[in-house]
Amino acid sequence: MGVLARKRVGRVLGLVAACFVLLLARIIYVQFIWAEELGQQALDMRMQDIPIQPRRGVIYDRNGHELAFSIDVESLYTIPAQIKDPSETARVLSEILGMKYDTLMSILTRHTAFEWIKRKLPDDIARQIKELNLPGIGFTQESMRVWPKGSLLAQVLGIVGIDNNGLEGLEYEYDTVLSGTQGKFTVEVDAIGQEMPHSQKGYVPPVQGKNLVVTIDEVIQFIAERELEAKVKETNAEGGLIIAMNPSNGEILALAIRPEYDPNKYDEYPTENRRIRAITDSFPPGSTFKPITAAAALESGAVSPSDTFYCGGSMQVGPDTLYCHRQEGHGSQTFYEVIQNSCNIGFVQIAQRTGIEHFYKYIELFGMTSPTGADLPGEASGIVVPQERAKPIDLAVMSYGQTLQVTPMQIVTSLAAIANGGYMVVPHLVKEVTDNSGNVIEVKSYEPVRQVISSRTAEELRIALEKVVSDGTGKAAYVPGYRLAGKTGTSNKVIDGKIAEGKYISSFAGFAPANDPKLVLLVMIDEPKGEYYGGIVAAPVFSAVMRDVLRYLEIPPQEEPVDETEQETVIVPDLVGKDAVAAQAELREIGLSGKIDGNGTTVVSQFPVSGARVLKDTSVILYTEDEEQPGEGMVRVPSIIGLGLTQARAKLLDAGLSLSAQGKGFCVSQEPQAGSFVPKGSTVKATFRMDVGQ
Amino acid sequence: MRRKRAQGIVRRGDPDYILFFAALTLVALGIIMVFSASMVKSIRFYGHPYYYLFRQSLWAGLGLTGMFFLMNYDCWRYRNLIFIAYILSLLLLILVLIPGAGQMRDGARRWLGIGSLGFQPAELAKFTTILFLADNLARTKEKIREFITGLAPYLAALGITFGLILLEPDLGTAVTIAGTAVVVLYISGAKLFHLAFLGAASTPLLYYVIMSEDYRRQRFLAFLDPWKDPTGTGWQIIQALYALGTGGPFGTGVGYSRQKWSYLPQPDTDFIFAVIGEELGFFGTGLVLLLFFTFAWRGYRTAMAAPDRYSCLLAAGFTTLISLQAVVNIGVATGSLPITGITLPFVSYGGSSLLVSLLSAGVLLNISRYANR
Repeated sequence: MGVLARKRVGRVLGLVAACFVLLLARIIYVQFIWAEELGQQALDMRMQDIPIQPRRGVIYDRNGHELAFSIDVESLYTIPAQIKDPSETARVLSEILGMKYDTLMSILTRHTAFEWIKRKLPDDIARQIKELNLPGIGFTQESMRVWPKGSLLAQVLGIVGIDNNGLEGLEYEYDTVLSGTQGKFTVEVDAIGQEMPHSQKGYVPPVQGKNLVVTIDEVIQFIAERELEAKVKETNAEGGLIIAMNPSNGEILALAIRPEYDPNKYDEYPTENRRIRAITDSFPPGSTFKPITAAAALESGAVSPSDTFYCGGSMQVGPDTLYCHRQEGHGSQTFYEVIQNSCNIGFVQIAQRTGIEHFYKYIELFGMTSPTGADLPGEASGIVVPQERAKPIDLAVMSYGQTLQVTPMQIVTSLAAIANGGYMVVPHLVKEVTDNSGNVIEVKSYEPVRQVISSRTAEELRIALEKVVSDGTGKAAYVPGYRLAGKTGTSNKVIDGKIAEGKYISSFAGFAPANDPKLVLLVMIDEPKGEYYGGIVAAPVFSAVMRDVLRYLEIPPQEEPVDETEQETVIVPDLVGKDAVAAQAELREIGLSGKIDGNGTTVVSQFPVSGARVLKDTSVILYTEDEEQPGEGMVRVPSIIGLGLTQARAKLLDAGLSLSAQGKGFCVSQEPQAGSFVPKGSTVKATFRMDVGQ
Repeated sequence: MRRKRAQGIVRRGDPDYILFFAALTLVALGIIMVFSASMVKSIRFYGHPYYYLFRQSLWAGLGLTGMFFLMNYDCWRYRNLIFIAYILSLLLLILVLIPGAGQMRDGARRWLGIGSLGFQPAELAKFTTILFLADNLARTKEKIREFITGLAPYLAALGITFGLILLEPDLGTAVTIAGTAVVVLYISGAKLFHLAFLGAASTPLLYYVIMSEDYRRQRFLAFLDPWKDPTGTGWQIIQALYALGTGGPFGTGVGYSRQKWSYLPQPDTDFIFAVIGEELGFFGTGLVLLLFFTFAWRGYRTAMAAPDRYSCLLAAGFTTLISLQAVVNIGVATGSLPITGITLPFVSYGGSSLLVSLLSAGVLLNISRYANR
């Protein structure tokens, strides 16, 4: 054996050894230094997430009544790779779900890790599918939003999307508070998508959403909606709205808007019904703006209450002639009388004495040029001719609320300043944020922004506005026994920047009691047919709402009723302890109606209380509560009579029951009866019909 | 040599036990890891986890028998049969290319089938080519320094083998044989200048072979930056690195590989090293590296101490064959070399490969018994 060969073998060995050293270095690098990062990446790749939606917070009214809440429903998903027999699975599912076979096939054969099949399934259908134990098919809990009061306060509450994200109203404005944080269930899968033996699992619990307590009082809201509904129907109007506010702190107690919609099935209504017109739309305020003209004049010192103004029925402003609504004129009037008569000519003179500079200063201070800051999405600010472009005719016409446009909320806020002694408050809808156990996490309080007028000016304006109701154009707003202040308004609608002839907005804005205002109220009726003067159309609505609300708020009358109205009155009977449905029947017999609040069957309290004298056709609210405790695993069947299909299903789901419905519309009968006890998970059979009056 | 043996000058001693145990340990480790790595695949296709374990054990038994036989049957005794074996292996390489005779699997015609037992002629060619080279180079002696009369005939013979294997196509095996042959030629005394010239001349050819075939080009380029296409061409390398990283220093424990669950392609053959790294950690990969290094060290040592030129070249050839495959396979599994499809000798699943590795070890061990101590 040659020396050369031996030497060369040695060299080859050296080369091979060098290769091994390099490989060793590489392995050490990969398995020691790079290992953690690679391992984490690998784990991330193998871990598959199944999202767990958090429970969205409840929206309560100020007294703890639920206005919006979420219920747990099952959502069906698939991990396509795990499906053994797609065509059979699709066939079975299409039968149960009523979905097209082809649609299901395309979902089940998709090359993805996770697909929804159908979300938010009713309990009974989910159970049916679960029992089949199909491979590759699974359920996860999601929450479904329910608005138990239907259209009540609907525009303000808003709606949510399929992923429970707030889309409108408070649901949108407070979405981050209500929504919570998504949790997830993770599981380690192989490359085909199947769970591995000895797989790692992870669970990140969802953070539940927080609850909102709103400033709305369900009862006041109900009263406002009832009266608004009645007037809109009576006058065949396009719509209308009512805002009720506590003038001392800006809390909105009611915000009713017509046309309405039901958030539980919002897709069945036109989208514009969802607009919160009270803040998104601006209108010419008409005469309801006059108190601000008056306030600017008094506060700037340009006019004193003892000044007199002459109205001859018309007046010349530059080249234009302006007319009073009273052709023959009001003659010589005091400052108070100008307001009382709602005399346009008088107001033009008041504004002229105030001057453009002061007038604009107070328009701004009264918040007519900026949003009020209400905690609702999409608020508009007023439209006012810019001061530098304002001509004498603009000032004249603005003095009685034409050419400029403001939102109803701006009117209410400015009126609140007159009612509360001169302070601009921030209108708002959320009082408190609470957690799951009901603990208050955050109290929303808003300090007054500024003082616009002195308390003395405010006082004088209150006296003037009280005279409007007692002796002036607003007599129809009168509520026996109470001192009311307010102002009528009738304005031409402005459509696309032009005055729409023959289309009016009738309004009445005011507060009560006049000497110590507790409630500011604005009523606007949009395009009433026939009569359109605010004093005739809107003032009676104002009166009806005030009457019920003042009594509900237990504000004592300031004086003996001057005259009992000609309308028939009845005494409210004692209904406490009676069956709610029977109580409703009893009320119907004496010309009243009853509205059941709560899940129980027995009336535990009522409003108005027994013995109260009320007008015919008044609704009595019957509060019910569960007084018996059901046994282990048993639940009480709630009443779903009168409810729509969605609401009925939601109410039953909440009680742990499922619904088997026949027909469409509103529930007319149910089996088992409300109040009986059944095992959790039972099915309630119910018949629905379309023609049931609500 | 025969004369010397007959005269009793060279006494047959014990085989190199270190080499012996290195090979046996690798086979044992291989059987365990093939079982673990193939379990998922076996259950999916055969309903039980033992299919690949059973077959691998069978081939290991056959291979070990062959190894023991060759360890005791002196390598000089079949020298006159080498040429016939070499021609036979070339014929089989031609046969496998004929559709109908050769089985098509994964786009390549590499198997000659006898029932479900497939055999790769290319694996046999590795073995016979080394025998052929050693036998002839021992006779050629100093003449190998001449290019035309010495080296060229060998290059022609190797070119035929190389070309036939490339036609299957099986670039990995072709390059393995070529690489081993160059090393054997070098040791036998060929001029380094000639070999360097050969290398320089074949580089454009190799470049063309790689770049002409789309999948080869992509595989080759993917190794440079696997994360450029992590779900496509970079997938295999990334999954192998994930396995090694998941294993880290200590491993997940035998049977607990996560990456073998359909993430890692060919966990029982080309990427078994990654599975070892995942389940046994650095202990496993370090041990494999150590065993192969031991094999190389003892193998070349045997070549250096071999009693004659023929056995020296034979020992160096087989040691190179095993070492080269080990280096390339581990290089691929650690993302250091482009993907070639070369198995890990002794360890990877595959009958032909295991059999040829064990027969090679048998010849080596036989030569080690005649070492000049």
